[in-house]
Amino acid sequence: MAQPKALDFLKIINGDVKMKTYSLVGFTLLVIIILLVGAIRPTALTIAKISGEIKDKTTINQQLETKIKNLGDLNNQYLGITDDVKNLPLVFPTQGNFSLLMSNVDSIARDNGFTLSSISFSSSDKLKTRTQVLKPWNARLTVVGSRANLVKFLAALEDMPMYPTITQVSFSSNQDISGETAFNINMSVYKIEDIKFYK
Amino acid sequence: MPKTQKRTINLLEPIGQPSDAWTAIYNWVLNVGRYLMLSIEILVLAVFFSRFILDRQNNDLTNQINDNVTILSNQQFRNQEVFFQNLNSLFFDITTIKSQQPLNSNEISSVLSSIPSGLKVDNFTFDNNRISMNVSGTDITVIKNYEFSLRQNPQYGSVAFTVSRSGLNSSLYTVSISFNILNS
Repeated sequence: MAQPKALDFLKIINGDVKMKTYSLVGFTLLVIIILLVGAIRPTALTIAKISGEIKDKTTINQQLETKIKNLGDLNNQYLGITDDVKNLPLVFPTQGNFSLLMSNVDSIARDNGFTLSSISFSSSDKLKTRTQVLKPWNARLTVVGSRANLVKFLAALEDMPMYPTITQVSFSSNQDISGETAFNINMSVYKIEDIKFYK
Repeated sequence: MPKTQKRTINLLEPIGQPSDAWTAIYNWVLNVGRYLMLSIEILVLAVFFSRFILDRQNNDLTNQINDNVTILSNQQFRNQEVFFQNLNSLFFDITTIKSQQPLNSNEISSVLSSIPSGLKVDNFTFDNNRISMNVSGTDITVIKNYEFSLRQNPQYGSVAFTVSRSGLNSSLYTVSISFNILNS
């Protein structure tokens, strides 16, 4: 009868030790959680925030450096085409100065046996284009010459560097005393509306 | 000591060591808490120093961005940027108008060359792919053949052909022709 009693006491003592161990483990876990939430989490959040900022700034910095590099490259490329670019305002003028066009038309007309009687320019909203900066203008010219040379003359006009489009051609069988016919020709040419475009 | 209380000896605990709550806390702090605090301190120190590195990187990047912005804010750079953008747009437009330029001289050429030699062109108008002309001739067969060829040509549409005679006794036919050039 004495042995079971002693076993009971040992069980009581063992239970007490187990209880203490569980309490210590629970307390340790609680402290770990408090430290994680209170000390490590804010620091981790701050680091994440700074890392995010660094990532964004790295992207921005790369874009800026790429832009500077591209501008440098473009500048180098531009040096190779400076002379051609200088002629662009004559081909696609900003202020309706179609002097090169008029000169070319006159020259082409003479080469094809025509005489340029008149040339005038007006704004055109008939031609629909998908261009961003080039706006179509209408050039109306009257030439006198032989009908046999008309197609050649029109083709030469279309070959000009302004890429004009022949929109209207009209003539009649009436001839002047020298036997030549008057031809009315309308063509679309292009100009740039921004006067500071090339500056 | 009351008689009813059980007398026990706890052989699992060392003799002479107190077992109250304070002792337990003291033991915990010296055993578990010490290592826990040490590891947290190491972590916090690591984070502290990493913040130095990150902050330095952040500051360096901010300085670099400011330097680059200063360079790009330079008036010459800004002018160059606008100029190159304009040139790029212009080159794009030139490519567009070059590829889309309709060569109407070819169309006019094919129309004029298709007029039979027996017909005289009194007047001719090409207006945005619409051809209108008056021709005259004496041979009705030539006129009919020309009408047939125009109506049969798949490149032309809405062909209108009006033949009239100048007078009852006249052999001269006046023809009004109009049609659209379809695939130009």
